[in-house]
This record gives sequence, C-alpha cells and structure tokens, in this order.
Amino acid sequence: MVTNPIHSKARSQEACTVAVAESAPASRMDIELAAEQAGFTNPPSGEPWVLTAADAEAVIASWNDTREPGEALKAAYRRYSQMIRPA
Amino acid sequence: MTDIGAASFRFEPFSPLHDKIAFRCGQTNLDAYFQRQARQDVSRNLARVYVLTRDGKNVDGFYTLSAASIDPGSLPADAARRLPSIAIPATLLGRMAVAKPMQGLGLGNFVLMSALRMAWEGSRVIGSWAVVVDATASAHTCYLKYEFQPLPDRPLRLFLAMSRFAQLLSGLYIAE
Repeated sequence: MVTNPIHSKARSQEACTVAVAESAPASRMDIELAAEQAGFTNPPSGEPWVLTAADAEAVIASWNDTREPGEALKAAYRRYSQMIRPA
Repeated sequence: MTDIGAASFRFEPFSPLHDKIAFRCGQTNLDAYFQRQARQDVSRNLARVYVLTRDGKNVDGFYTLSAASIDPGSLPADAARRLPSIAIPATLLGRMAVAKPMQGLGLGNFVLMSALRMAWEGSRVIGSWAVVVDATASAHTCYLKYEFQPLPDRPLRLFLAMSRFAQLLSGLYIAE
C-alpha cells in the first residue's frame, strides 16, 4: 500500500483542485486514479478532489513506483465503469 | 472547466443523430475522417464507430473498431508459441480521438476502456485473439501502461490479448 502523503490536508485547499488539472504532469483522471489507489476516499460525484499539484505529483510518483502489472488498466476500467452510463 | 464528475457520459454507435461537423480534436486527419468518412465506413461495414456523448448529439470523442489479423510470426516468441501458424484473428482499434475542449480531463481513458470492452464483447461472438493498435509515438507509452505489448519488429503496432484483458478484470468488472 502506498503511504498516503496528503492524508491530513485540510479542505481549505479545495481552491487548488483546478491547479491540479492545469499544472500537474498528468490528466486529472490519472491523478484521481492515483489518489484512489493511494487510499483517498473518492468524493461524491461532482465534489472536487482536495489535492495540490505537488501533492498529486507525489501520489502519482508513489503509485508508479509501487503498482503491480495490470493495476493501471484495472484502475482505469474501474473509473470507466463508475463514470459511464450504460447505453 | 467541464466537471466530468457531474456529467453523464455514454457511448453510442455513431448515427445521423450525432453532430459530426462540429467535432474537432486538433488532428486534421482525424477530424477529416470523422466528418467525411466515418459514416461511410459504417454503412459499408468497414468499421464500427462509437461516440462518447453527454446529450446524444454533441460528440466528445470517438473510436473505431474493425476486424483484422496478425501474422503470428510478427508476435513476441512467448505469445506466438501458443498460437497456430495461421493468420490470427484480431480487432483493430483503428482511430481514437477526444474533442479539443474535452482534452486533458482523462476522457481518453474512457474511450480506450470502452473500446477494449466492446472489442472483448465482440470476441465472445466472433473469435478475436487480441486488440491491435497502431500508436503514434506520443501515445505509445500510454498503451504500454495499459498492458499492450509492441510487436518486436514494428514497435508502434501494439496488441493486448483478450485473455489478458479478461484475466485482469475477471471477477471485478466483467464476467469471463
């Protein structure tokens, strides 16, 4: 399990969530996948993730270092299943 | 910025209800294909085209699937060893794009996952050993991340065996 580096960040950082999408070295989706993998609770639909760009980078770096083969595909497919409405 | 968490995305077979003219992904060849050729390919049974949409009209992304085959001699030795020496049936993920205003939100992952899911479902009806893509140099790493393997002599052509896809997701998200 990845050590959660931003576990105790306060919700006051909510304003930084846009910065994640704008400046982090990955798409917001990748960041969310990494955050989920790192043990963050997925906020209710429509709620922002509370991550600074630096924190997101740290989460992704940790995840990239430790994930097992296939984890990226599993995580992406899980997210897809959650987000896409059946036809 | 679009809040994809609150949006209601779905994939649909490309039809006249979808606005093909407004679609722009930033790559001229893909825009031209979608606007001018995709519907013809569907009507001539050359490809199946699926679109990502929120409202059934505007297109946020698309992908195409077609039947294909792989020369077993082109595969890595460990994969070819378990296959007959004939052309191996496969599913070609021919084109994939996300509309320019929606790029950077991770929708490319949705498009790819939907394509893999659809290809896998198709393989349950008509045998297909793998999904095949011809990647751009910039997308190559992304496919590797999602378990695709390059052909040894043609590294930008990559494949993902259906069995690997099913193995990874079995018991979690798809029924084997």
